[in-house]
Amino acid sequence: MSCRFDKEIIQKYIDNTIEPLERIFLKEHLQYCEECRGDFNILMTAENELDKFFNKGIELKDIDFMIENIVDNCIGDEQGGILSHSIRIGKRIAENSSKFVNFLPGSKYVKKRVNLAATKSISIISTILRKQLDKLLPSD
Amino acid sequence: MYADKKLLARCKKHDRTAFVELFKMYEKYLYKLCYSYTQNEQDALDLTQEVYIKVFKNIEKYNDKMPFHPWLRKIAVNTCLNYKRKISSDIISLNSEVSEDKCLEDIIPDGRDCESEVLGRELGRIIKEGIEDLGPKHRMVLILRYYECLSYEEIASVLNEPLGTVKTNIYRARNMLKEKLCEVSL
Repeated sequence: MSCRFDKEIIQKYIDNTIEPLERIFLKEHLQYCEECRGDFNILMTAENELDKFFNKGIELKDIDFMIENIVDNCIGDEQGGILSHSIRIGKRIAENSSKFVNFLPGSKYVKKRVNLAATKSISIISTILRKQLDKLLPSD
Repeated sequence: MYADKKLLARCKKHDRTAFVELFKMYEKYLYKLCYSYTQNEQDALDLTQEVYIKVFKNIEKYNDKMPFHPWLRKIAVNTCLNYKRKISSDIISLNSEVSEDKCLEDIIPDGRDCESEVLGRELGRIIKEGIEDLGPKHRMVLILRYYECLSYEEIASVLNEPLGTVKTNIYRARNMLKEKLCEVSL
């Protein structure tokens, strides 16, 4: 790289953003500078190849099937998300609505008496059942 | 390829048929963009899928007063730039794919191939390899420039980068490809 010519002018030529004066300057320079002429030719070749490369046809495979699957999965995820969200909210409402019972006056006494009554009832029922079973089963 | 407002409004309501219609409308465009970036069929399909999922999840954020295509392009470009390429094997079989549906057997010229045909294929191969060797940003500016045909200003806006950076990246990318072509011609 010995030539100190502004290479950006070549890039501007490729981009078609070159000024008329720069175009004349470039044309004249390329006539006598072999190095820049070589660069110019290779860059123009690269430009043509890039155009071809990015605009060639590409075969699409199974994309329609993939699209249907993606949409179904996204909608499915979303509905699943809504369902679990609703369940969580329902559970929270039930928990919050039962919390007030703890703050009612005498709630602890009621709870204690209910537990006691339940234990007593169980022992009475089991005594009755045992007696009835003894009557039914033949004694030795 | 322009999605109308009614279709987009239906998509915002998460209408299944509207999404399928919208995605099919852009399938070729998106797949080509992703393929240009990855140079690999499977990676391109993965990326396309990822873009579709992002569009589905973010469709509420889309401002329907603005055109849809640039919004989609921005999602696709960001998805590509964030994509970590899968480690692929270096072993290439004679039947393995080197470009689209061509395998190495097809590239080995038979007696009937003329010189220009071989030269054309060789140039195509060098450009493909050159693009694969470029960094993500250099590759993306070339895609936006040559596939999307965007101006430097538009590319700067899509990538959220200064105009000077975009110009430098394009010049560098071209020069890297030029070096590749020089290496072969020497």
